[in-house]
Amino acid sequence: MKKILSVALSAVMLTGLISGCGGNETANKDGVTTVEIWSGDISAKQCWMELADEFNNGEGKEKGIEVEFKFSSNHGDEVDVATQNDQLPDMVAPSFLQIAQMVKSGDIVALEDIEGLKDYVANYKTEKIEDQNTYNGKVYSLTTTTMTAGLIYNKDLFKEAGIVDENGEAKPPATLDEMVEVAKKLTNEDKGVYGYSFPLSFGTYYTLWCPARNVAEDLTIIDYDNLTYDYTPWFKLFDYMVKMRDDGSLFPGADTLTNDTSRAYFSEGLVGMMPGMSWDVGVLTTQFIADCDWDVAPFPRFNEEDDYPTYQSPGGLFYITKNGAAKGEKIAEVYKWLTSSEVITRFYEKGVKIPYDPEMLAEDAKCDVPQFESFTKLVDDRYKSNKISPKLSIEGDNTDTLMKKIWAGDMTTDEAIKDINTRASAAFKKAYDAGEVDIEHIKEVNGIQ
Amino acid sequence: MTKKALTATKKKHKLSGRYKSREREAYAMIILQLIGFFVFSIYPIMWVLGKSFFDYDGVDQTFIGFENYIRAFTRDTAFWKSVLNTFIISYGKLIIELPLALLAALLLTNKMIKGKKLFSVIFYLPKVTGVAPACMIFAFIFATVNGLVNNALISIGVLNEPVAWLSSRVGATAVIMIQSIWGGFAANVLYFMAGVANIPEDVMEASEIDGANKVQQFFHVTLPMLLPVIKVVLLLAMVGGMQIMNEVLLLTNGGPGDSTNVVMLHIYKMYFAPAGKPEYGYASALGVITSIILGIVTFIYLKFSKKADEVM
Amino acid sequence: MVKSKGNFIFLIISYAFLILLAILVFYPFICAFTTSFKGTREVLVSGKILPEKWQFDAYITAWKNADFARYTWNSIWYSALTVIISVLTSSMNGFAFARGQFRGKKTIFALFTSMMFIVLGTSTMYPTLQILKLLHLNKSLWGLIFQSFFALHVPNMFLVRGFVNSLPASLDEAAEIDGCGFIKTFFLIYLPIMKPIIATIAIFSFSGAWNNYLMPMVVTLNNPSQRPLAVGLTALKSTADAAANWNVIMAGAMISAIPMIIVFLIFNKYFITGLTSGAVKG
Repeated sequence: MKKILSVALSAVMLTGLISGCGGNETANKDGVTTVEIWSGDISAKQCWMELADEFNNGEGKEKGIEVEFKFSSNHGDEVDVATQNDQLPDMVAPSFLQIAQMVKSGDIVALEDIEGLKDYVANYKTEKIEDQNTYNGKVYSLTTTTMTAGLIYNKDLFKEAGIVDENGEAKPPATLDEMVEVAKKLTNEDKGVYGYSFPLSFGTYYTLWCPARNVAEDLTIIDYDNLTYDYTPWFKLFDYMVKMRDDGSLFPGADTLTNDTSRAYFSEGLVGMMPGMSWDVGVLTTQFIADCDWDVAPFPRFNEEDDYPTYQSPGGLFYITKNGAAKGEKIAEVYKWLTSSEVITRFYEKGVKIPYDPEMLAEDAKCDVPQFESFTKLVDDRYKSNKISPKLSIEGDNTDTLMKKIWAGDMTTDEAIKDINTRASAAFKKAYDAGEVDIEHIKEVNGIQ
Repeated sequence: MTKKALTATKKKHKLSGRYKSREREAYAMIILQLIGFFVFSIYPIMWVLGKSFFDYDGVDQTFIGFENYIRAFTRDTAFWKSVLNTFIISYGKLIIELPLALLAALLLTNKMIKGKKLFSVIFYLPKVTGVAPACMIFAFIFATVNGLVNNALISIGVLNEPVAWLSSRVGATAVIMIQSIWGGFAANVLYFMAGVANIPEDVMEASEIDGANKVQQFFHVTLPMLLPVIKVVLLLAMVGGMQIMNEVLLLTNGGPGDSTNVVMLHIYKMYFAPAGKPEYGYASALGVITSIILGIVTFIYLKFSKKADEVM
Repeated sequence: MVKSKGNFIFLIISYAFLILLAILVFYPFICAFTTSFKGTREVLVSGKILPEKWQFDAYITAWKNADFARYTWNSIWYSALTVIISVLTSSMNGFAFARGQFRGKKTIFALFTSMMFIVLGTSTMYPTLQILKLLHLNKSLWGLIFQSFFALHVPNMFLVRGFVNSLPASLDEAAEIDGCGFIKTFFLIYLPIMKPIIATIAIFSFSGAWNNYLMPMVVTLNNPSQRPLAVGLTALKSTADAAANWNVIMAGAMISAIPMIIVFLIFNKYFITGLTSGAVKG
């Protein structure tokens, strides 16, 4: 037995050694510089891969640059680990919190400090460089795209139920009360059709907060003078979901429903309305190809007269790491390509990303997907996406957990509101007294008097 | 043959060269692990213990002494609830899982049963399916709408309406237990099989000759000889049970509400911005407290099993 | 006559039990299997076990686009090495604690065992990485293999120790008379007898290494050619924006399952041999 073991051990070690040795990827093969870019934006993956191919065979070939993308659903974690482990690629696209830290530690480099980019940034054809891209007065990335969110609805079901306007076109509800009514009308249990699908198990951020952002000026009211937090609008909004569930118009099992399953059922024509982000266009046209005719509308509000801006999330931000900065000019070329009008136009035409600045679009840009145009129409310049809020340490349940408790019947909405308000306000006061919150700065950035 | 003989030999050779060389060789067999113990076990533990005295959000850290511990014991009811849930889920399922595994192991080591290989492979299949695919399948099987279990139960008339398995505390706990038993059952079967293999054949034969029937054989011969293995299996199950997380995360994420929130999941959530910033320091403190709880539970168990030894 | 009737009833009940259990265990696995042949949307909404139409797309996608061929090979050599190392070290440890006589044996054993109860989870990832970084081993699977030489595999060690303790000490004495040293005794006499236990811990170590996700993910971030299957599989999960391709994930899981089943079958042989030969006679 010992003999077998030792032979086996040596054999496997030898083969492993051979495979293992091929492990270190060299960034330079025959004078071609490879630029490695990581991103967590899986909905854009296909588009980026195509664009990268074209670049590598065209412009990239001429300049001796090869672009390599790596997409991952754990992008944030991987960047964290890579920073610790000294394995950062050339460009990354992590969350704001991570960016702040990486700027501090020097793992991310300002664009202006890179050869060839200083002028480019200064001339970048947009007035919309926000505070969020700037740290210590220097620009760290350029925003190229944005996302919106709203109410996705099944036009066929609306027409069938007779919920139409004068032209016979499906008429999405304008207020939340109307939405509850419409949901009831659309529900037909025997056919397995439900008025609204709410994938609660996916969390409430993308499924309610973003799409319904236009329901109020602020879903969480922060009073900077009295140092209080008030979550009432946010929970009152959530109540409408509970109401629809109690009416039986909600797709059953909402608290175990995932985003994927919800969209799959919508694409089968079994759902009247659901919350949607602009990336859902890709999902409903390429992954779960919708059997029905659908469109997007701004989310219904509390009152008909309310007119608050819809959610927007500027994105497409890539940051150059210190490893990438070492590649000097080549990285500058890649960055210019990433933020070029050509790339932005392609994303728009494929219905993947809305351009942040419409001026960046090519003259004759036309979108292949009509529903994407509807999402684009939701772009509202009044929306301040760069608002900041105090960084607090709030002990206990977060709003997500509280909502799930309300759903399970463990708490009433009012109890939850009182609970979170008390805790958040206490944390606010505590942080303020400890000098951790710069109220003047926050007010300035958010444009509050 | 007996312990007495061994001790006598030990005494005779205690100071002789033979003993010294035996000692050296024994050390040689554990030296790697001894090093590993300090480097890969003690150091990380000290690191985490240290962090538990800070308020660390990934960027800044401030020393706060025992604040984290005070918070855990006085204000964090959710943590203690999760400890209770962990006990209910992990230890409750043992009541079903262990006897089942034992029975299966006994049958699979019985000379009269054919097809042992086929059965063992089938029982091992849950281990080869990853946790994520397994949870997805169980969510699919127990789904409220179009779930396989609901469809089956309705078609044979047991149910009139689909049951929302994962939406109630009892249902969710049951599904998690079932999935956990499904995944962990094979391991215990294998342990027990190894234990049965250890029982000398002649002891079994002797009891048969003595005229014992199967049931008597089981209780008077097999079970006592299996006791050491059963004790180890129980210990491993208790320790491992405390660490259950992936199944719960993927099936219910602690829900509905927080009724299936288990300890490791509660700590895991601390890393991902609970209601404000991530709390690595507090999470470390919770980890330390959890280990202490587990240590206490194990200590009680070991004391109890020693007592049981004496009785037997 | 009575005996064979008793036997008959025993057999009926036993087989019924085993078959029922097998069906219950097999059922979810079959679901996973058939899901890998379904279309993307069908996976989530079908409500039936069998696919409408058997499609192989998922397998093609997994094998080609997701680089599964390479991942599988990586998993194989990484798991094989880890198993050999961990089985060797834990059986040596178990034996040393059972039969060895050395100062501090009780203390060291208590210390080692107490490591089992320290449940700190992912918190220990950072300090462990620090150590590996110092040794320049944090960028490949070799670092993890190096670590497994030193790692404590407490449950395995426990089992071996328990097993050896139940074996008669006469084995030891016979070896001593023959002039074997402590280590030699282990390799020549005890190891061959411990086949069932070795097979057991080998199976567990293998599935542990095969399914190990966290550390391999961390050390192969920049080293995609070394990624094992568990890492590749998890990368297929969904994010907020794009829906997961569950059929591809299931296909990947099925591909991942095959080597594990093969390993199990190989070691299962030792099991059966160990069982029929009986531990020790007399």
